[in-house]
Amino acid sequence: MNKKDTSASSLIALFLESHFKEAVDIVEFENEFFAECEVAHCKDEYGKLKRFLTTATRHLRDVDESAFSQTFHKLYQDGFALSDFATKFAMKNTLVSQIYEKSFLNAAAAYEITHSRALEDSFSTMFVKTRNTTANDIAVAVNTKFYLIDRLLWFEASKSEKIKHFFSESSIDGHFDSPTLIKYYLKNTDTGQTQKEDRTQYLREILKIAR
Amino acid sequence: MYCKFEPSEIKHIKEALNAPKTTSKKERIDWSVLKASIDSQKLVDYGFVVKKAPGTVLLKEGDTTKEMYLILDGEVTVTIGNTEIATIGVGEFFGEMSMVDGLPRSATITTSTECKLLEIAPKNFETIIKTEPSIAIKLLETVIKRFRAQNEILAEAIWHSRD
Repeated sequence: MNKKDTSASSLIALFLESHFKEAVDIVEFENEFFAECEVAHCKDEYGKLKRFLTTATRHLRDVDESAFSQTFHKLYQDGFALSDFATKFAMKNTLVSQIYEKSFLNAAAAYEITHSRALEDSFSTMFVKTRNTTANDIAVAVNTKFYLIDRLLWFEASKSEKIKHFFSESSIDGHFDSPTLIKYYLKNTDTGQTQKEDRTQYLREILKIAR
Repeated sequence: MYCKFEPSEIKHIKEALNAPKTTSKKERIDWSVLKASIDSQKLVDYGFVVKKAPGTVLLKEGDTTKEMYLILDGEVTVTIGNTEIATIGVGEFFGEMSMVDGLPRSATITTSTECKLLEIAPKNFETIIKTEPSIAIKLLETVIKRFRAQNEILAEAIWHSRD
């Protein structure tokens, strides 16, 4: 870009493109994967099932260690890596003024653009808009990825004789799916202690999401 | 991230997405066998056989009552907060936790059909344990299953506390 031709707004746009490139590339990669799987973007907040799916996977793997395929483990780890990225993305992009001061102004100095209130306001508006759009795209990718993990978990679990036996022995009545196991955990969680109440609250919340 | 899946893996995931859900059938206590071993006079010794209309709240979350119930006929729903978490039926127990540990009720139990229940007072609990091993074993199984589930929850809490 020609330094003389670079307006503040185009410089901000250029900065944002570079700043969010990794996230945009990841979302694009995930969307290609979802298209391959022929799965629509998940509108529910399946990412909230992360804690439960960790427990369920460990629980069911304890019942039958050979129940889950390499594909499942790969998808599971990939989903958790994506979720970690979403968390880091949110943390990294919270303090807009710091990014403006420490990153943007340094880059802008090369174009002889210096701080002004109007520049900071303009940067802040464009940054927040791009950040929120990108964060939403990442959240949709996380939700869709955890939906896939959930479906693959139960597809494979329902084929395990040991897991079927565990369901039968534990009088777990219902489909081989997350709502059934969430209800089982709720049924067997005594309330009364703060930690357990938190846990119960969490299970109730995800019961409304899981399907 | 940037995890590349092979065509065979994509096919497997698609298969999971399109597969219908399968159902687990709960194994309930065979009440007809159990009933044959307990005559009506004995039932009266253990507690009261009560009939309840659909929609009757039998136990309320947080209450400090101590009775335990055995479902002789009908079904009840288990609710925590506003969330219905289970339906239980003939041959199943509820209310045994508060009877044993004395803590407030952990869930609300409401009849979903007309129900016939054996209401067991705390003082009769020991008698049942001593004289009806089939019921005692079933009760023990229920408590152990709940204990195992609690262990899972505790393990999960410890796991996440390390984050």
